Amino acid sequence: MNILLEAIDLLRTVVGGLMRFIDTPLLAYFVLINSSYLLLMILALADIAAQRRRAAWTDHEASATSPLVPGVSLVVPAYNEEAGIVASIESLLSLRHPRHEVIVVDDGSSDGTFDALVERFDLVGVDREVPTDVPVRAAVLGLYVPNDGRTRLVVVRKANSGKTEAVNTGIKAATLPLIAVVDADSVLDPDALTAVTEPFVVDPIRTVATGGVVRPANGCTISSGRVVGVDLPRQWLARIQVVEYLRAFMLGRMGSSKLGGLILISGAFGVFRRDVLVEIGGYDVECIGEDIEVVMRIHKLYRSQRRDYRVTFLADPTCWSEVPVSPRVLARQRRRWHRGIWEALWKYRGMVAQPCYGRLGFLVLPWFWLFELAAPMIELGGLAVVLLALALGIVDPGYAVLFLGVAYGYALVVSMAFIAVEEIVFHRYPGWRNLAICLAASILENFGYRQLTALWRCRGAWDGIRRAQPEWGTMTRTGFAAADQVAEPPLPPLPRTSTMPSAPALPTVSRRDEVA
Amino acid sequence: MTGSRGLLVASLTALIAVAAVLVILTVQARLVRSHRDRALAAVQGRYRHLLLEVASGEDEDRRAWTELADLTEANWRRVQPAVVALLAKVRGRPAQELGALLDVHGELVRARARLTSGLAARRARAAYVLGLARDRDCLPTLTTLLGDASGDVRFVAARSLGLIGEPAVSPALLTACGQLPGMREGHTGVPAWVAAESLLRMGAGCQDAVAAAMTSKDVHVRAVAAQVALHGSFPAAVGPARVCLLSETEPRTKETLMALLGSLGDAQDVPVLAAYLHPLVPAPLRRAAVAALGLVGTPEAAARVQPLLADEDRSVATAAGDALAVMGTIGRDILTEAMTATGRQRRVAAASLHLARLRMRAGEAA
Repeated sequence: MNILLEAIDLLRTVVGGLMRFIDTPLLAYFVLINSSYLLLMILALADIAAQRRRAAWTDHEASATSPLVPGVSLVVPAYNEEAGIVASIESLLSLRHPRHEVIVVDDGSSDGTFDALVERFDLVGVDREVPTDVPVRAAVLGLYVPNDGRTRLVVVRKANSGKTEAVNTGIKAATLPLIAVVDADSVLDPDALTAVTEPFVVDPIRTVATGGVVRPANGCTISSGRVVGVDLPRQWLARIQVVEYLRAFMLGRMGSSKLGGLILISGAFGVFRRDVLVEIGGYDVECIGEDIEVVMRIHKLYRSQRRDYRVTFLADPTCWSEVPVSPRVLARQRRRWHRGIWEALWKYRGMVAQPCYGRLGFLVLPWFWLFELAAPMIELGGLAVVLLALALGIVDPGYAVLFLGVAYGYALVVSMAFIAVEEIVFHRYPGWRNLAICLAASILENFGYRQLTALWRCRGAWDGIRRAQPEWGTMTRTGFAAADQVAEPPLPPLPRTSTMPSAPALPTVSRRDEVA
Repeated sequence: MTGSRGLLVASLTALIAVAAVLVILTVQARLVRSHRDRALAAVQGRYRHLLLEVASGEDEDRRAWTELADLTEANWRRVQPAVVALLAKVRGRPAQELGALLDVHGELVRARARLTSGLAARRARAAYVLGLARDRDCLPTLTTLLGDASGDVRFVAARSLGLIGEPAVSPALLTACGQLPGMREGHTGVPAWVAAESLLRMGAGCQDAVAAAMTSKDVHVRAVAAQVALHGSFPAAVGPARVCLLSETEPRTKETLMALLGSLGDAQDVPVLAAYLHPLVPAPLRRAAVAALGLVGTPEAAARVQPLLADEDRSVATAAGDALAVMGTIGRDILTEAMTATGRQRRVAAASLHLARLRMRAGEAA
């Protein structure tokens, strides 16, 4: 009994000391991280205002047909996407852009993904070698084009080897100067492609990559591969992600872009110059967070060679993508994302505080280390100490509530500021109900969601540190072929000229991960 | 701890107050927007049929125009944005009619006065309206605005000059595509796209200025000039392009110049373009040269492309196959012959012919 009491006394001393030592720095950390988000928002607002002004003076009809706009190859990696692949490809083919092609890379699907494409587009095999300018280990099994000779679609079939290799295969097969990587389960706004490629025509010499906004598609009405009605999801887990995407993935990235330090373009919707991707050797198949890694590599190459370039984020072009609605899938996603951030930051740790990388080395990367990578550890650690101190009676409950109230209250204020910007500038979610839900979600986010995601992110970083085998998973997709979709009649079949045999059944070596 | 407790209470109170303000701001923003949209829709709805009649050119008796010209100032202020939006979409007589409508309500006089306003947003809006109204009287002022301190004003001035379409201002527009005095390294006066679109609107009248700009020291100016010469099909630019191709340092401008020589050049360009087929030349330039030779389409060009069907670089080999496929009979004969060979060239030729047949069936290719 005495030993137990002594242990508790020791614990009280340690936790008490820890509490005295960390309470001010912890609060300062919360203030700093949230203030940095506010600063990014202010920077983003300046850029959004300029973009909006210019958009009002731009002839959008002309941009959608201008010969000056460079062609875009939309690379769509697909693995077991039978449910929605046809609607998705039809939607991509009908985007408003003067010159674009769609390259579907069937990454060894074991379902009817390929058959669905063959049936809809009347594909025929072409015995064409895919260029080798980007290294890919998996074998290309066949290349197929529509028999009508005019639909700008290429389907590349390859042995299953993961999304990154599928994207690299698509880059190899692409024939146009720009590459847009789009997830097969994503839906782009009709003008999104024209809008996201605009920086390449506005500043053709310097622009090397651009990114658009990814918004949750859950709850939206999708017909014929188009978002025809925007609404919030029905599940609170997805609703909270709407607010989170708004804060971190839209205005946050816009602010980083304004600083000249955008290091993450979402894998669900980014455009790159093909020659740049070839020059850097394509996406890194070894890195879990291939989307952040590829942008980091571009920065490193261009800055170290002192080449003038721009990586731009745009707030208007929108890609709608399904977000996880089950905690299990969300956990897997967040672990993977955070592991990706860890791997990329660790790989490029040498860029930090190096003069040749400018703001990137002195501002953006330290920010990512301190406020993105370390944030979940610090948040959970701080929370644990406060709760322990509360349990041991070191701090009184009133003080603990105040402490946590200020820490999470500032985060709430930041989220509300982002919602206000969304409402004033973009107003994509109509109806008072949606506004109320957004505000409620920004409050609810602080009760459990933040803490859980912080835990999952910690585990992701730990997985990265110990180089654990990546845990792949699948996300149940509803597909975008909604009941209201009016299927177009199939194109009239023409006699086949190809003698290429049909591709063999493919072995599946791994399962693919989900979403955005 | 008492001191810090006080601070925490003060902070929490401040945060709650800010959160409340943000909620009020958000709700107010939505209320204001809804109210404004409804009011605008009500007024514009009342006059929409008149506007559409004018914009579609069906207002032959000018009844609709007269009714719009007689609007009270309060109603005109609400209809004006719709007129400006329509003006951006129409050309010819309807554009003149809508421009006259702006004039009769004093918008053009006001806009001319605002071109020298101290506020950049006002200058930009004024330049926009004058451009849409194709107001030639303001050409000198708009040209001056190409050197304005505000990027927005330069942007709108360039676009408005394109809408007016006077080729005499093209040298100034081309200069504005580059780095203007006092600007940071790499920054340009006018975005390349806006300048190029405006120059293309000016038509062949600006081709001499474009040809001259191809030798500019500024890489951004050269890039715009090459793009405009290519897409405008300016024959005057072919000579300078031949000279500039050799000295050009920017790879993508070099590719544009090759495409220009391919589409507008002739047999004398074949040796120059063929020099870029060497294996040591970067692949994008090799592919651009192959595509350009395909466009030249002479037997000599075909002969230069033929060996590349067996090139080590598959992307160049594929480009060679596709270039031969678009050359017509000469190229297709070479591809057919290559199909009897062995190795890579047989496969490349077969694929290119296959795709060409599909496209021909679709009526896209020669």
